[in-house]
Amino acid sequence: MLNRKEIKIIFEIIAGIFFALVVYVASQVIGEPYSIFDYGRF
Amino acid sequence: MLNLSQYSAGSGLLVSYSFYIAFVGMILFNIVIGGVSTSIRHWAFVIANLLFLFCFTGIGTGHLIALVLTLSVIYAVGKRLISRPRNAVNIFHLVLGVIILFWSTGKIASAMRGSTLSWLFFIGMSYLLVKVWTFLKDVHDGYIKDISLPAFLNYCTFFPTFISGPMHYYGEFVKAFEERASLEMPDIIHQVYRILYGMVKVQVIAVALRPYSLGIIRTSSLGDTSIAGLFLRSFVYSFVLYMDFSGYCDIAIGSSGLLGISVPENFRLPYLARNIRDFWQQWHVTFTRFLTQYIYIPFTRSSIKWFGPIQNVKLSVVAYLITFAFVGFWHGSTLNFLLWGIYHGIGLSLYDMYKRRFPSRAAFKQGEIFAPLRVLSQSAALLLTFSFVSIGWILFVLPVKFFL
Repeated sequence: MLNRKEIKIIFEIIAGIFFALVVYVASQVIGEPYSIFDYGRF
Repeated sequence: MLNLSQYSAGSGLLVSYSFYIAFVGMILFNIVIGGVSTSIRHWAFVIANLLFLFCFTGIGTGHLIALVLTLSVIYAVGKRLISRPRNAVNIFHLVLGVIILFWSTGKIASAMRGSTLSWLFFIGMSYLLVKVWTFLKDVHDGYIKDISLPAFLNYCTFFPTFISGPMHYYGEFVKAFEERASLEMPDIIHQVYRILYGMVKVQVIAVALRPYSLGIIRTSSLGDTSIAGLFLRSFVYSFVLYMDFSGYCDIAIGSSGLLGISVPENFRLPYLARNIRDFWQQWHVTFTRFLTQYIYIPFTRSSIKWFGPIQNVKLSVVAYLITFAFVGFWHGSTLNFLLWGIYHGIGLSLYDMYKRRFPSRAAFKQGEIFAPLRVLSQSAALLLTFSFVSIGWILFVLPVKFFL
């Protein structure tokens, strides 16, 4: 039986791979990401 | 393919692919220098920070040299404040005043395109102002007794948090740097996950929502948009900004974590706040704590000291308005940012008056109110707060000429 810590690690690995794929696909559609600083300068 | 490069403020610190290639090198470099003294590690980080800022933010060599020189002078002032506390009050106010003058001049000039004084301002300056301000005040107040030049330069130029926070205090940063967060495999997995989570927020969700939010109508006018449409866009913008900003902070926290340096959290589910005060305690947390501890509280204390007992409500209203006028200007030097700040100052003042008029919500806490009624009341408070904040973003994003 997995403990909470191990479940968290497995979740983060699976979610991380999923996020990486999503970001990769988005980058193919949108191009290079851009900055938050499009309205003001901090 | 949609060309978004026009929005780019630099060359992609924290978000570009070339940054991550360089960042892997930085992680390896950090492992290599792991055995050396803390002071040398600080110096190594200072050099790395300057290289990252040069390569990925668009800050030029002239600015970087001026930055290091200015920070060295501020460090010397800090040393002076520690060694000779007799004249500390005057020196502290004088130096802080000069720094704020330069910062605000550069900020205003940068909004007026073409002004030569705009050279005084570059990306990350407003965050830098907060770091320097808190450093000098903490030294002045005696909270920091031991400072070092490499630690101070590293604190000010630390690249993961340079352009979007979260902001350490000097003491926090030095402690985090010396303690070095654990980097076992589960920690590495967590930090990488945190970076990817942030990237999804910044590069996918915020980008997907952006066409339905406020930025897209910046160049049009009020006549072209219905009021309902404007409000709807402001609600969408709430999520765009949250995803964008908190995503950047996730990436900054994860990147710092991979270098073994823990960073304070900056967001605690702000849109679930049930009043405007809670919102500010959950939104841009490291900035709000600065506002509270270094502007609001010192202002109210000084006012009582100079003018004697002042009615609490009046003092609170004035303190909120001054603090949030600063907040507005800190975010941008055009009139709409100032109005946005004052809007929040008024909101906080009204909430403060309401709390004074109806001091206790104890009945809610003790469960004396019928549960569904309590849920209804809390939901209404949440919705009201969210609406207030969302409508405020209209002032934040759209220039004043939009309404004229």
